[in-house]
Amino acid sequence: MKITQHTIRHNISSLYAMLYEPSVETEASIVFCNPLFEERKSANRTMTEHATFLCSKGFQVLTFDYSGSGDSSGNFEDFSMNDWLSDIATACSFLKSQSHNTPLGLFGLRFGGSLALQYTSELPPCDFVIAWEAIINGEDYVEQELRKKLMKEMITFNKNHGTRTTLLEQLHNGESIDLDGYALTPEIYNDLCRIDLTNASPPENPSLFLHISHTNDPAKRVTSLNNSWSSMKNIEFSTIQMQPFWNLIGHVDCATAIESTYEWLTKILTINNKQIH
Amino acid sequence: METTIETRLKEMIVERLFMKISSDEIEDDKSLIDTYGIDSVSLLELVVGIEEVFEIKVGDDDFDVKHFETVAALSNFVREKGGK
Repeated sequence: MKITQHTIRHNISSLYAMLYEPSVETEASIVFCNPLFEERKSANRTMTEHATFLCSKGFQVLTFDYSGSGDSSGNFEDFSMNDWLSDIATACSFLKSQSHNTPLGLFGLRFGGSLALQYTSELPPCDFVIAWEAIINGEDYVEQELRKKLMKEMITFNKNHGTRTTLLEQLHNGESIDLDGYALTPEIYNDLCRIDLTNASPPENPSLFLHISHTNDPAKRVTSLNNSWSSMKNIEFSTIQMQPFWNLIGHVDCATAIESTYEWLTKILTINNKQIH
Repeated sequence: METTIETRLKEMIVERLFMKISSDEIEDDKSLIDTYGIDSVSLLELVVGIEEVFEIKVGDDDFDVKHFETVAALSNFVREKGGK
């Protein structure tokens, strides 16, 4: 396995990326799409473990930071969802240029999974999509992020100093809100509210929606999405009982999700007559 | 025999937060934050769980640490809210 660091020039920013190249013949290439805000930091170790595992199994993987986040250039608040979709397209082009006509897929966690599932028409054609606990409804996601902020205030000051209503008013008045050091700008807020998988056109390529839950039973929102997309035989829904590692500081053993994803990849690539080593 | 709110809360805490202790080991009056290491993210997970399990709505005005200090405090809060 060879891991190399790259800086991909892109519009006004430079994307920081890591390329994982297997020592055996590459069977498929995968671009990893990150979550946003604090979730990106908490998920970093798992994303690396997942990339390393897939690479050890013969997959070429590219991980990268969105413009304005991580080690990529720019300020977070200067970018929007369209920029990050464009980043994914750039990452796909870069990975294509490094591979030999192998199938190309997207793997996304949370926000990254939503982009991969909802905006397939705005992204380069991909052979498959894998989404782990993709955000199904952007408005609900923002509400939970704001609740998280209020909860942190409560722990720090014994009581929070506002409500979601006052925070939303700030956004509607054109002000940004600080979320763990990231500025949630009105533009990013509006972008996030556009995420609505249940009412989006489902992807047409083979796709895996991996729901990560505290029980083995799917949450109502996932069942609802599954029902909305039930006519699409190319989309597989699966539930895994595991901690929400993207919310936690400590290490979570994600082997079950990683191995389950690999099994699905093996299955769909075998169907496409691509035998994996 | 009807399961008490306290018991249901402890079971929910252990299940939702993947705690490596049994629900019986959680004491009613011990601090959830200091003794059981529950942080702000875990508390939010608990709030979502309480809303689902007890069919109540937790408003932002309810985000006061006094409601979340212990299982006993949480149980009183659920009762005040008319939890089922």
